[in-house]
Amino acid sequence: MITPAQLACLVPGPSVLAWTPFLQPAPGVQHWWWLLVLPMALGVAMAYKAIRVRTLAEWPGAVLKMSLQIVAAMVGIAVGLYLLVIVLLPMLPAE
Amino acid sequence: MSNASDTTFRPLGAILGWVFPGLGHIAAGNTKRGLYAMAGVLVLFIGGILVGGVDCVDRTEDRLWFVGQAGCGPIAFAADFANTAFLKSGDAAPMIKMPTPPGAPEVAVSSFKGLAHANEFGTLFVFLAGLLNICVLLDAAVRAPASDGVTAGRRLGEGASR
Repeated sequence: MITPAQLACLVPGPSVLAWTPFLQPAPGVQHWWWLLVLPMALGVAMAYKAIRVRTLAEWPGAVLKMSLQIVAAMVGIAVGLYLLVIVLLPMLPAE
Repeated sequence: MSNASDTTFRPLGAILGWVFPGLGHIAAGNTKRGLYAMAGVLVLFIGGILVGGVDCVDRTEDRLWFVGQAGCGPIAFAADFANTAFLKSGDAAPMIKMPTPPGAPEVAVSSFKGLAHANEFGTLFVFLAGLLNICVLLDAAVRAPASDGVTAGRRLGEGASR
């Protein structure tokens, strides 16, 4: 659940006025860091599929498919680890 | 005349691919493929610098990460130079004294230094850009020149992931 304070960090606000891109870290990353998996998946898929596809007409579709696969895999791992740490491990006996 | 199954190794393609992402393909006549690969690598590289600032490329403090980041070529070294010239020198922002144990030498860092997730993701993005560019430049070295439009024949394993 995103709190209003976190939502405010997603929208460029007054703090962005003092931001020097490329010299300073992007403001608010601490709150929305998990969204960075989207551009990461896109960049990886763009570069990888550029050298993997046989014909370049396939590139956009292949990039979209691989991006979604990466994101789905990351979400799957996150859910699995959540279940392991929050649900399964507390069920183990303390001693 | 060459075809897409030609696997002769061309070192010049790899060198040009390291000089700038995608340049190896472009120089060999595979312009569109080179531009696509360049776009992918630069999305990660520029995205990383944008998220973490130039501090996420640091040849001395993050040496192991830099080994991978150097795969991007001179642009990674330029980012490292900018980090040293603008941030570490104190030109871009005031330096902040860090708490140190008694007797230890005083340490000051730039107030623009990236911390936590911003630094981690910035470093990771540029690292991934470097690793992928190594894949791209190796492909430029073995891909047949002017083969963008060739569909018959393929290199070993090409297209297997579709």
